[in-house]
Amino acid sequence: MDLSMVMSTFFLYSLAAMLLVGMGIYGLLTRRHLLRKVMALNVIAGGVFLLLITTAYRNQEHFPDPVPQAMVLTGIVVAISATGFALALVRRIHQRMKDAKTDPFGEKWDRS
Amino acid sequence: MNQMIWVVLLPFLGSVVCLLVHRKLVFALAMAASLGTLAVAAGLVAHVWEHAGARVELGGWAAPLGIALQLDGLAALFLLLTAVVGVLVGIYAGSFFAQTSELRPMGIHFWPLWLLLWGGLNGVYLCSDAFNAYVLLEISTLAAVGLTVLSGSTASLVAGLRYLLAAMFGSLMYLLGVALLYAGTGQLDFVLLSRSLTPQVHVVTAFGLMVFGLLLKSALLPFHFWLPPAHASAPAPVSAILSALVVKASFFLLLKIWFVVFDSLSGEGPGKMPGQLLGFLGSLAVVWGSFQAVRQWRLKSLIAYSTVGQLGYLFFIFPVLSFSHSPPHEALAWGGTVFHLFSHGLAKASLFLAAGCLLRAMGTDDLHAMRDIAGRMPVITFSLGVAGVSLMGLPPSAGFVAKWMLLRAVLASGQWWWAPVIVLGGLLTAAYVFKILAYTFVPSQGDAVRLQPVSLAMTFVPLALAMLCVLIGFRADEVILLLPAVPGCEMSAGGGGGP
Amino acid sequence: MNLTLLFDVFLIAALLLVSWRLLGASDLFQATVLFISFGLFLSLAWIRLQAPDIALAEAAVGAGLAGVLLLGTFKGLEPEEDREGENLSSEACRLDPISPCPGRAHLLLAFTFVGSMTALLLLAVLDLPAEGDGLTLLVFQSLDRSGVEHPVTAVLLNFRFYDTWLELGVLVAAALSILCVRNRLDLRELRPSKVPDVMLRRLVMGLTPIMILVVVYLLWLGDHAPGGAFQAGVVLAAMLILLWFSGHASITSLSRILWLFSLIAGFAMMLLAAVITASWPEMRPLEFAEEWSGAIILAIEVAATLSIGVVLSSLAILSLGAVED
Repeated sequence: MDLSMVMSTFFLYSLAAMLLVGMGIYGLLTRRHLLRKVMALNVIAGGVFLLLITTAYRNQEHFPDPVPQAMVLTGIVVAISATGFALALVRRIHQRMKDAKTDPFGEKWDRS
Repeated sequence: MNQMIWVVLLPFLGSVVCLLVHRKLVFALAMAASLGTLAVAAGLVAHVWEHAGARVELGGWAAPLGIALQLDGLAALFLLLTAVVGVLVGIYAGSFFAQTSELRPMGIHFWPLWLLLWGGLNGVYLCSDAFNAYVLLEISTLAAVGLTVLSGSTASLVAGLRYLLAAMFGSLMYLLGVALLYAGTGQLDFVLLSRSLTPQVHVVTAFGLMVFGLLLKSALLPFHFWLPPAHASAPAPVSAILSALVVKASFFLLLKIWFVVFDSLSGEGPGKMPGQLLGFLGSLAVVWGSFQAVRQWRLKSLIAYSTVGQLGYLFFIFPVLSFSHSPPHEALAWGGTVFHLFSHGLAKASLFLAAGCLLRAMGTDDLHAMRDIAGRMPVITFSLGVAGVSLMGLPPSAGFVAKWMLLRAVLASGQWWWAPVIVLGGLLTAAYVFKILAYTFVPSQGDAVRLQPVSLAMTFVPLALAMLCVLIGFRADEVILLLPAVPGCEMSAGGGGGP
Repeated sequence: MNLTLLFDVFLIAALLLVSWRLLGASDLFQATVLFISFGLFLSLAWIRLQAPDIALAEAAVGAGLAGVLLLGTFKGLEPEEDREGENLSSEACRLDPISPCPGRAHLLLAFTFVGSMTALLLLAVLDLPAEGDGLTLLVFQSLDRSGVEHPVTAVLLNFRFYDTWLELGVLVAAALSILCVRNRLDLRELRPSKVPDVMLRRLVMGLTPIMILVVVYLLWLGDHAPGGAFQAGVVLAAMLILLWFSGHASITSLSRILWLFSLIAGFAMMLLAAVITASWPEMRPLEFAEEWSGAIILAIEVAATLSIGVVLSSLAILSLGAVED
């Protein structure tokens, strides 16, 4: 492997992107707090987006490729929707668990 | 073939309209959209039957730049299954959400979300673009999780969050695969991708990532953890939709990725390994899922674990086809898999809806609490029995045709080691079906639970689904004739928009 | 050249360090703040990689809105005791239901799995071709038939219109799902948890016209330069959130039907375009006649801006609003 190739912008950023994905997955699998899991998913998403954007940047003579850029824009919207939904769920569950302390696990609670 | 897009448009139209109209009109308009979708889906099946597949380039932009819709035999059958289950579940849901004042507000959210989900599922079946598939998967996932938490119970919220996190992770892994493929080839269209792939490290990695993501979403065994709580805690019509349809959409995409996009990579030498691995996980799922189902005491949990087990059967197609591509096994494997999809989809919807009736009547779905149900709710018990027979794979049901074809496909391809699993799965299935039925026949001991009345629609929809499941067993030939168009033709007929 | 390389190395180191800390830091509040700076570093990277459209969106959404949502949720969990909240909630929905507590074996397994996966990913990336145009040329060749001049807008609203339409569907699905979770039919009567102070009220009042101007400007800009419906929608969302936060009339004063109308405006507009083109005999579905496409895209963009603004601000308001049940 030629070192100068690895040092090119494309490889530098795409390697970093994969490290972000790896870190995100590790966080998702090992961290237990739900907010942290949501953040870990967003770090993974950031890594994937970085790979796409650096792919778009690859051909330096021309303009950057607009297709991956459009894909990332769509991806950002999807990610924020899912994040918002997940956080709403986290908050609601937390509230329920607080109530459940006085009325320990009501009959609907099913620990499967 | 422009009418193809109507299977996506009609549910979306229904969804928008249901959000805006007065709540008294919602059910009628939603049913109109559902029946319309069923009619279009039936038309598409007829089209594939008479002509062949078709391809539509959206916006008139040819494939590498634009997005295409691709119709083939497999897609048409999935569209039909979704439409049939969708219409019947819709009829049931209309009555289900009108039962009590607690359920009525859920109905307001149910229709728009369900129709949005339906449009997303139909989009997945017609999809021919790797990134488009990601967006469609996300719209289906968010709507499906929204439906899961409809009841607002703590159990369903926890299950919904677990489902959402697992599904988001799966989608991101899929998207990472797509990004690698695009960086390698500059293509997104399935057919164009399949032509430009060579066995390089990044292509194999992308394959692994996409398969991993989709396995997570279709709940194959080690990734099944999110499924039973989500399917067991959702309201009955939602459970039916999730179990019968939603997991199968990711499985459909897996078939496309495996047999269309990466077809050239599998099948030789080390290419056999992934197929064997999926077959192994599938067998584990069949045995473990069915075993867990036998151990459950809540009817809905039992049916949900049964889904984990039954999904396992779908994965035998991968080892069979990656071993040998000779036509007789191929037709048998595709036929068996599609029949299993149909029989499981119909039977599982019927079981969940019947469980919803029992839950309504008894106030609980605990098997111990069932007393003399067979005598007092004969139609429901009969539906449970018929659907159960199909799951077990007894003749003349579709389940029998499915398992028989799978067994023959496995033996014909020389991989006898999967056969005992198929048989053992059938026996375990019989064990949990009889467990349910046995409790419905326990005579009441004076202190029988007072049963709440269950509406006619709710009583007869599960029966209709179960009967359909038996009836399609008699139409095996037609279904198989539609199918050989699946893997081969797609490659040659598709890709009309290539540069 | 060397200076750019230095900048790249610094930026990448910062990204990796911040994400490492935000996943590892034991203090959840610190992690949330780091998450916001992660978004900001990412948008710096987008600027460096010549993706100004994405940089705008990332700064506003990835750092701004996601940060607001996380902080809001964090505050919602905070008032009770944090430690306890952590135990309870993670107990309730850890992803692994079998093992009672992730011990050393669990961590080792996760580390081996993630380590080998990351190694594979790094190899895969090194295997990628160092150069490639992707679809750049094709997009630029078709640009003059698309009705707009900015390539990213052309991809989003013409070449891959179907994706963008579905993306608005994702927003609608998320908004409706959150309503299910919060057990509400609309946003009426949702109030900020603190009483807004007078200075803020005045300031926001003064800012509003400027923000409206920015929304219109960004929308118009999208035709030929970085900007467009999405960026304009995000600014609109920020405006609606600020108005709400400072106690002015905002989307929380809309009736259910009006709120729904603005929520689905973008999705419905695109659906309408799809229905018309699909029923038109000589056209392909979603095909816009060349002479009309500019106008159609503009109309769709206006509706999409409204929807994106309303959905994103609803997400934030639902997460920040005082809990009433």
